[in-house]
Amino acid sequence: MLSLLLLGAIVWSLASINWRGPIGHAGGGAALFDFVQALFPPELSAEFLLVGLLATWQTVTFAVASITLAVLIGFPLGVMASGTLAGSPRGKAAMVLVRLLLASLRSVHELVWAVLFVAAFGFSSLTAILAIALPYAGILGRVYAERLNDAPERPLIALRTGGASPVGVLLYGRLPMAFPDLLSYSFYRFECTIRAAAIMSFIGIRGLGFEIQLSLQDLMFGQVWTLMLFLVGLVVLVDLWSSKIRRSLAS
Amino acid sequence: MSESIETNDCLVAVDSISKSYPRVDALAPLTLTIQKGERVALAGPSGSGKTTLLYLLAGMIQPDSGQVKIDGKSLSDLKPGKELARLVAIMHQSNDLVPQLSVLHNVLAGRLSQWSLFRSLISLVWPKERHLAEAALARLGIADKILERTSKLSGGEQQRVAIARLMVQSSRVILADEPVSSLDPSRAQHILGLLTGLVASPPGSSSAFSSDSGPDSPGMVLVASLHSPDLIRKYFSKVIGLRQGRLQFDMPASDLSDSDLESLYNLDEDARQPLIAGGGR
Repeated sequence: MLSLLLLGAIVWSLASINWRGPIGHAGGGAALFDFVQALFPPELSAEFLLVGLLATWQTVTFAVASITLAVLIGFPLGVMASGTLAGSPRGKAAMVLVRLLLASLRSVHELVWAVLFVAAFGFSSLTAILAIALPYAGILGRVYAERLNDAPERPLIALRTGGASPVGVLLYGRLPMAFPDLLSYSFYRFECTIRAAAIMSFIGIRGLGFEIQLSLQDLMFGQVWTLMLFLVGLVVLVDLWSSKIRRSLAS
Repeated sequence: MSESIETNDCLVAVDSISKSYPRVDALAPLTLTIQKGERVALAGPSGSGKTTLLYLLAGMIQPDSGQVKIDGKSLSDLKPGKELARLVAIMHQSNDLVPQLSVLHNVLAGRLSQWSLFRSLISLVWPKERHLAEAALARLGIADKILERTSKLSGGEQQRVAIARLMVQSSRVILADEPVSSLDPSRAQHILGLLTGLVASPPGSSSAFSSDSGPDSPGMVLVASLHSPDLIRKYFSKVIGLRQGRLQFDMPASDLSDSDLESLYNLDEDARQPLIAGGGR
């Protein structure tokens, strides 16, 4: 039933596009050509590479600060939302409340959070970090809770019949078994915070996004490509790092 | 002194417990007693109620009627956790360790029932009571594996880690659900030797695992389910035969004849009838 409803919504949205007229605006083709042509070669002067490196560093610091805060908030909330410690009715009520909190944190996009925090803290680093960390904490908490709940049941039963308390079962069973999953998901989210930190340029945060915006305004497509390559390279580096850590955990 | 020990020799008293399930593995009212120091083999075809009986003895499930007393205390009166874990420990058929933890932590998990929350947390980083784990692993011959990741150990080694966890839990009654069902004959002998050794060992050598053992050691009991008559006669002092949740025999293991077991496992005409009726529901 729900699937039918969703299918209907997709068909309706496709129908609402005006397929007759040109989808791009006039002259779009030529602009696209200019843009692609600028890739060969991108701007590679030492001076500009230095600008790119500095911007990359700034983006990384924002991303690291955001994901750290998101993990610090998301982990305890995730444990509470998993309900693995909630034995009493009061604990169950707390679990439901925390789940609602996580849902509301992640249902608001980081850009919307940014707009809200600009009103409170102005155009500052704190605004950018909080704006990324809050929705990410909501996502991490939800996924942490799921992974903790999905831990294989038999070793947990063995711990319980050995007399371990719910906290003991969490510490010696659920957490160690879920840890590789928690870690690799956190790393994936770290990649996403890099992307998110880059677009925080629109509230004046320095970094790759900010430089891309400047170069675009100057129609320096070569520079835009260079900066985008830095962004891609950064994400690839983080990916390599995370797979290395995962491998060492697995062995 | 010696008289009082004589009269208190009964460690496990099962008083007409029954348990029914919609399908199989139910238990008809069953009464038996197990003396201190006894090594009890539990035999019977699958679905005869062996596992149900072990779970009832472990306090993991509650009987529909009757009660289980260990050392004079009714299991249903005990809080799960600390009190129960001191009296009875159970090893499951698959070893059920946490593969990502070190051997040391998997063994020390047997101490969680006695540890405070804070101590459990600290011990993850700075292991507490490490000597208990070391002694247990040394006795099982795998002391050198103490810092290995448990998932890297072979199946046989993991089973010994599971036994080490039972040892540090230092319970009075040790239950093992089919401990040798997946082992080759020589390994099966080895594991049974280790398990029965826990109960039969002289008080001095077990002092590392139960603080209150000594000249008047309270005595322990092992109950394990298995099928081989040779192993039962070699390692056990008593054998209990179950069939369709009923007690078929309860006798010294040395008296067990192959024909006793044959008739226990034999699916003859009149026995097959209720089995099919039970399974069809």
